[in-house]
Amino acid sequence: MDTSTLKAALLPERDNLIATLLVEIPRAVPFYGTFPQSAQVAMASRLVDIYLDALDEVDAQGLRTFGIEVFTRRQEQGAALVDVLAGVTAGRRAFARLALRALPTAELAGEAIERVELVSDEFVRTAVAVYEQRRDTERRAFEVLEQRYQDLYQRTPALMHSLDRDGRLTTVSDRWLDFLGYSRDEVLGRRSIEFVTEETRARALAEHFPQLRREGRVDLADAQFVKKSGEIVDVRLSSVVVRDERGELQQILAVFQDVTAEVRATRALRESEERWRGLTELAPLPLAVHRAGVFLWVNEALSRLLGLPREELVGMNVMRIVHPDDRELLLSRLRQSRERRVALPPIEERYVHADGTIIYADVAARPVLFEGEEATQIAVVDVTARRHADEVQRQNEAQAKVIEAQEETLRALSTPLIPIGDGILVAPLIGRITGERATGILETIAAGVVAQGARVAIVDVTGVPEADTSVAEALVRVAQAIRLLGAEVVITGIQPSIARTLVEIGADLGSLRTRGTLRDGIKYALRGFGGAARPGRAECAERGSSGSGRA
Amino acid sequence: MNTTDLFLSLTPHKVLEAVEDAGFPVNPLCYPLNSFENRVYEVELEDRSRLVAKFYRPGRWSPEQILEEHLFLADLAEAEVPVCLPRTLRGGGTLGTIDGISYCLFPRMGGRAPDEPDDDLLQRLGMLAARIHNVGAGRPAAHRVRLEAETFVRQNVVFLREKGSIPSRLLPRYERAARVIADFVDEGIHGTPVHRIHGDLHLGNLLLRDGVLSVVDFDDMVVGPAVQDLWLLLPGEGVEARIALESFLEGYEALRAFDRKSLRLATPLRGLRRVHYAAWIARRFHDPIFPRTFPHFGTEAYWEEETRDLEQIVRMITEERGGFEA
Repeated sequence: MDTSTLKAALLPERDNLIATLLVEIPRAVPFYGTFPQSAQVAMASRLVDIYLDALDEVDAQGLRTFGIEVFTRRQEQGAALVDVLAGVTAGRRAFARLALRALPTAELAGEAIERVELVSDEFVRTAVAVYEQRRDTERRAFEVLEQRYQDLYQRTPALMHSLDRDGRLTTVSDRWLDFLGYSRDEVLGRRSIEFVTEETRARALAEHFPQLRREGRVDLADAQFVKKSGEIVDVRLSSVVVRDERGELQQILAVFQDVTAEVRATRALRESEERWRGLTELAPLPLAVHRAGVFLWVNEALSRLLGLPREELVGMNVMRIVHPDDRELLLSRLRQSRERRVALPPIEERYVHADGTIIYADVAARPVLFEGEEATQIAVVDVTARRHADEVQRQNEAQAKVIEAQEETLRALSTPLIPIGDGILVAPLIGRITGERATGILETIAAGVVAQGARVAIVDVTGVPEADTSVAEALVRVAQAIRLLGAEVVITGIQPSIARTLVEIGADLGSLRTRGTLRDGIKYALRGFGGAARPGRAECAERGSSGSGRA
Repeated sequence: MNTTDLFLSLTPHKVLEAVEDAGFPVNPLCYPLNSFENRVYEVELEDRSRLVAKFYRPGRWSPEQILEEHLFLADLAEAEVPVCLPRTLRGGGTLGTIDGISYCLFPRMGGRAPDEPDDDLLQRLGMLAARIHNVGAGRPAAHRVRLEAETFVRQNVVFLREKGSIPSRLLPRYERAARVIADFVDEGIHGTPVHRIHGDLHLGNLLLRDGVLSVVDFDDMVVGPAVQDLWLLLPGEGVEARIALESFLEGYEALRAFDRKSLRLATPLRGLRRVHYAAWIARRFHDPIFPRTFPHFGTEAYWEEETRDLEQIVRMITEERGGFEA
């Protein structure tokens, strides 16, 4: 039987074979079971026709072209090589069973099967080629990508390294090598913890690696590397775990930055702060640092000044200790301090001591950096004692002014001058006359004589209770002075004690004109001027009141 | 009468007119099919064959969004994934309009939803989902909705609150549970790859005929994580669920890589769907078919059950996270 006979013999079985393939291929390869019925029928039909055509002639080129088209598509649809090979095998087996059943002899069946095996072999070769080509293409693409990645990785200006799951360096950037002073060959394959200090190694093993496994990343961890030269450098390191599709740790990527200068600066700052604290802790001047009004630090002197322990003051808002009336002022100062960041000149503020007493203080403020952040330092000068002294002085001054005014009043009251007619003044003296007062009396009467143009000054001493020699002398001095001004002095109401003293001191009584009472004195004065003197207001009043006149 | 009213009162006459306008002469036979969201009719053509006319609910999807659904179907069909492709209408294109209502025509597909799947079927379902996602990841969908907590949970909760749907006694509990679920969805989706997915891939949207599975109803197609097309097909909890999941993933991973970390999203997505579903009913309740279908919706008992279920989901998430963290 020639090949055309083989085909003719099997052609009636075409539909049976298609139906068999529709069952067996999806059974062998579930992937094919996800195709639409129409697509499955089309595929099976096409395969059966290829088998039947192969009984006439095996068109290797045609099979390859078909295979490339189909297997490329299957590959794009996600099928693995093993799937398409299983499909080819299932088809061949189904055809072989059919041939054995439908053809009259085993020899013919063998011949037909051999033809179809040529087809299958071609399909297998084509499928493998398609998948290998695709794999090669992907591998090349991957290699290009990998090379780009490596180039990028190695040339990046960042300090980067990658570790495998055992913590061994698999990749390092050029910058990494430059920084630590090694060559790539010296470091790849070695564990990263060989390049760090003992302390960092301990932390990495105890904290960082467990955290990486647990959380998948470590951010900004402080670490110390040891350069090849032996120099220790501070770095800040972030790591992230890369996992494969099954979630297994594949590699650890780490990037870090050199913070040696920053660490040194921080250390210097810390030392500076410690020095500052040393100087200020025990300073006698009360000092504090606050941020936005909250005490961050206070020294012992301020604690004593306010009567509160330091641990209570730290964290306390300054508003709690400032006098309620000064809170507005303080708020304004805080605002200025925050906005202008300049030193504020001293200003007086009031604080309330723990025992409730008011503390007056001159407070100066200036911006400072405290533990790396902006804050305000204040210096407090206790001026409470000075304020109290000022207050006493102010009170004394006020009192002195009052006394002075009173004295002035008294003085005015104690030496009244009463003009009772043109040219006549009456000065009734009351109270004890001291030397100082005597001078005042003298000045008052003298000024009055001049101002009034008086001819007679009547000094009435009825109200002077006692008189010593100084009083007597004063009276004499007054009389002499007034006479020098061209007026006559009449002293009235001299008490016996004064008279006695005047005698005792041997006063020049000739210069004194005396009368027993003020009334007699006034009469004398009026008479002495023979009625030429114009009546004063007192006289008019006297006349008016008596209703009688000399005329 | 506005477009929505026209949609709600869509007459058989209008349905037949639309199909004829699209270039398919009809016999005057038109049967409504079961669909809440859209109006779907089986129409007999002059040659006695039948096709399915789907009228989209106005205001839900824009024409651009619908065309992205059709494009996804075309991409899937081109990749020999068993889906139902919309017919080309007269004048080209797959989307027609009548009285402002968008519609399209599908060939009638026979079949039934598969029974509770065995391991083999689960493996095939995994492969099918993987093939859908292989195609889905091949092209963006710029207009399609993204599956995310903001749209599907938070905005829906605001809507329910403002509409006064939830009894005030239950509102704080409901909102609290929904908020936690939304946060977990956000956390889970962050960093998880998203692409075009079916979005509503449950057994009811699969047709099994002559041993061949087909996927239908891409109306809820979204841009989202692959895990959304996984959890609806699988039973919820327990050992059986884990075995089913492995069978599914065995098939899936034969054709496409699957990020197993994204499995932690499954329960939050279950909560997301629950909130979205309640808001969906509330939004559609003016459509007469909804009160008839969901007579208990809006009752105290309904919201009590919804709230309890959301709280239960939150507990499950917390326990799962505890497991993950440990």
